[in-house]
Amino acid sequence: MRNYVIVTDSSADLSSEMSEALGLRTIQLGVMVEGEAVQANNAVDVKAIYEMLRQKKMATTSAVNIEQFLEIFEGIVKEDLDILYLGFSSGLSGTFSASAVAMRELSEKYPDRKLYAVDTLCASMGQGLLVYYAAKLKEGGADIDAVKDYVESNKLNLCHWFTVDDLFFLKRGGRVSAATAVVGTMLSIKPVMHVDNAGKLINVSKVRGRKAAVDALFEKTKASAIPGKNDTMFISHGDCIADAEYLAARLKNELGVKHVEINYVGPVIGAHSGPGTLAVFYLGNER
Amino acid sequence: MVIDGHTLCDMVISAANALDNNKVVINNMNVFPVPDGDTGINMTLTMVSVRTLSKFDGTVGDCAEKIANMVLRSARGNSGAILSLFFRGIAKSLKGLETATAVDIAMALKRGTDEAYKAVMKPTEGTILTVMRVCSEKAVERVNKGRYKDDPEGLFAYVLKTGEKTLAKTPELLPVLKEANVVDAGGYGFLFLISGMLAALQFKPVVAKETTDTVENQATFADFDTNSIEFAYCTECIVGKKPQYRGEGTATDFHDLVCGIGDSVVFIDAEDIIKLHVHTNHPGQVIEKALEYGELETLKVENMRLQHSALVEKESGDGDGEAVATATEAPVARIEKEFGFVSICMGEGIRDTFLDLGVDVTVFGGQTMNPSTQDIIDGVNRTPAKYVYVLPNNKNIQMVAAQAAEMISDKKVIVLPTKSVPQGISAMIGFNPDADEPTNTAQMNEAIGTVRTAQVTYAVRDTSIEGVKISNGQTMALVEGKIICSSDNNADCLAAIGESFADASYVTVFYGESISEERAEKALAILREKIGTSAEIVLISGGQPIYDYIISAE
Repeated sequence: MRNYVIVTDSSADLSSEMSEALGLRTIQLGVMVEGEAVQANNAVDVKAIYEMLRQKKMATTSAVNIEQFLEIFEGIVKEDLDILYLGFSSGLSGTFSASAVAMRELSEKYPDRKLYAVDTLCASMGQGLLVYYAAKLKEGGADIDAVKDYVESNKLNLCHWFTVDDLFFLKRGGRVSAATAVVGTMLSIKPVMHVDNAGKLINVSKVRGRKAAVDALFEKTKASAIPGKNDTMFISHGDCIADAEYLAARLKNELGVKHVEINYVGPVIGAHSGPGTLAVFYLGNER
Repeated sequence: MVIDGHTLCDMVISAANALDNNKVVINNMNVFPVPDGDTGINMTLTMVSVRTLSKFDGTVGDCAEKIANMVLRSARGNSGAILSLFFRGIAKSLKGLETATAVDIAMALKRGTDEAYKAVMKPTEGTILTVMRVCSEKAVERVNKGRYKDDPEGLFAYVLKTGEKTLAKTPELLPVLKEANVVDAGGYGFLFLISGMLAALQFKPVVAKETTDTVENQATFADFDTNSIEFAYCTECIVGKKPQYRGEGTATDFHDLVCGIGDSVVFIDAEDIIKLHVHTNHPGQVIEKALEYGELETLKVENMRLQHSALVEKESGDGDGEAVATATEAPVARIEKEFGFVSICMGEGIRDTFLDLGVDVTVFGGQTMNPSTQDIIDGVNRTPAKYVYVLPNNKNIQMVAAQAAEMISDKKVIVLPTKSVPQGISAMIGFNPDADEPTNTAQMNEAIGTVRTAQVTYAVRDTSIEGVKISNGQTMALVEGKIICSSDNNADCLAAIGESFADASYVTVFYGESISEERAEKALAILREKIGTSAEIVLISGGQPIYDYIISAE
């Protein structure tokens, strides 16, 4: 049986160490600040990008196009590896649809190869956590079809809860409707949001103040996490590590979560969610 | 003797004048000694629109119908809303009649009372409703016994006497009245209304001592010189004054400009707003000048020549003067979205807060200046949404808002029972743009219950309420509408509020127009001491009059 590789995007917000340890390949989505492409190879780079976002500098992202996908995927095929690509939610980026077209073309060209593209309908470390579970299965010896089936049947159980400090960024990037973006900045009202089954960002409720928002993420998690089944949870943050650690401590102390992985919301998503974004991800009953 | 349309008009105009002449005494009947007793003003403003009927000639049924329509649109406050329902019932009862006998009148009074009772969710005895009910029941009883058959004057004299007796008993029915040593203000006002009607029947109609303009100063047909309209544009606006122009009479040069370029000037230069009405050929100059003084809260410019032709056309048809009402209505915004919001509020900071929360239109008004039915209808019309939520933010605006909602047919209007600014804010926080209307209505209603409201204001006379003794000029703290503290010292009141909000997790303080930022900071420190450090406390310049502080706890 031919070996395979799991490919994902930089929107999964996994650290380079973890990606390496899990044997993943990561495709970089483009990020531009004030028209110039920026690199985010390490935490120092990411922090610098958040500083620019705080100054409300214009940040844009670009999807990976069909050409780029063809080149990358074909390179892997030529290494004699099959491909399981776990892509960024089609509800938030055009990247997945480009990958699907590229994958179809390659499948026609290499009919005997297993080349799969899965729309995870996930974002940030939600995508990261799904990829993590997939990579663990692969490590355990599961074949490409088994891992693909696992991802397909579990992706809608991957819960994403998040809050943003300022809806300005999501609104600027067109990731929420103008109506959703109105919450009342004068009263420091914060949105509690999630990613729905269509992979889109939905405002679930509004609370007063940052602390209430962070606590609301915990309450949401507590309400839908499956006791005993959530040893691992991921938290991503938009340069607000203290809030991430506070939330992680509550998850560990009050829900008995053994392993909480914390990482930055990378610039791909950070450009649209802004500084102060805090998100928690786990496998629950339903989103 | 029978009552024809002309007589009925004379009666209600006399009634309106009687209210106008006595509005201050009626205001002073307010149970709470807060500086916003406005029952007299509300009843007066509700009724004075009928003055334009002075030359009315028609059947008593048509006249009653006209009165009902006018009063309905200008209704303000709960007492005004009840009056408008009363006149609606009367109109229904007199419909189709050429003239009315005393029997017809008694039946009409009864029908009016029934209409008023029907619309009030939980009628409280000891109020205007009781006075109305007893008066009309006794009147019917009398005419059924064959009394006052051809003597409407005698009937009204009897009704007035009955009303006076009933009013005197209201303190027995409502303990708050007894303790405060007053009678019900609305009931008191109702008797002025009846006495005004009686005076007209006695050919001694009440004449207004000094006339209160309707607050809109709606330019009515009677105001126009129909032969030549020299100034084409009826221009009206409310300007929220910039801080440097706060205070009465600060806008004299604006006043001079307005007087220089037009006529029919009404210029109210109040503490924090300018309200003006002028007929001019240069509305642009008025608007530009207004902007120097502050922000335009409302603005209406209409071409009276066009209105006039519309009116002439209409009159050549069915002879109904309704065109006046339709021609002066604010424009109706096209429906562009699913949900919209109209919030009634006062104070720049509070208004900004509502706009920041996604409210489309704010209608100026609150404790001291209740908006009329028409003001709210205009607000809803200007909101470009299919479903429009109205936030009255005051219990005294609730009924009028509900009436306004009933009068709008092209949009679904939902009046939320918000009794305070914090409740209005909570309702907005409960709104979710992705949910449907029933879900939102339920969620917003639920959100109203999650907030408590406290207010700090001052007493305008000595009294005693629920055991709390209050002296004129003292500061009072109210929590959820109940007086919890009265003191010469502002700090005591804030401390009392702090204590009752000790368990809150989020406190918002809107400080009023008379409070400096430094004083507000001190107030914050007092609250902080009582509430502790676990709660977030946010200080916002609300700019509201009368209430030094409006404080909410979540």
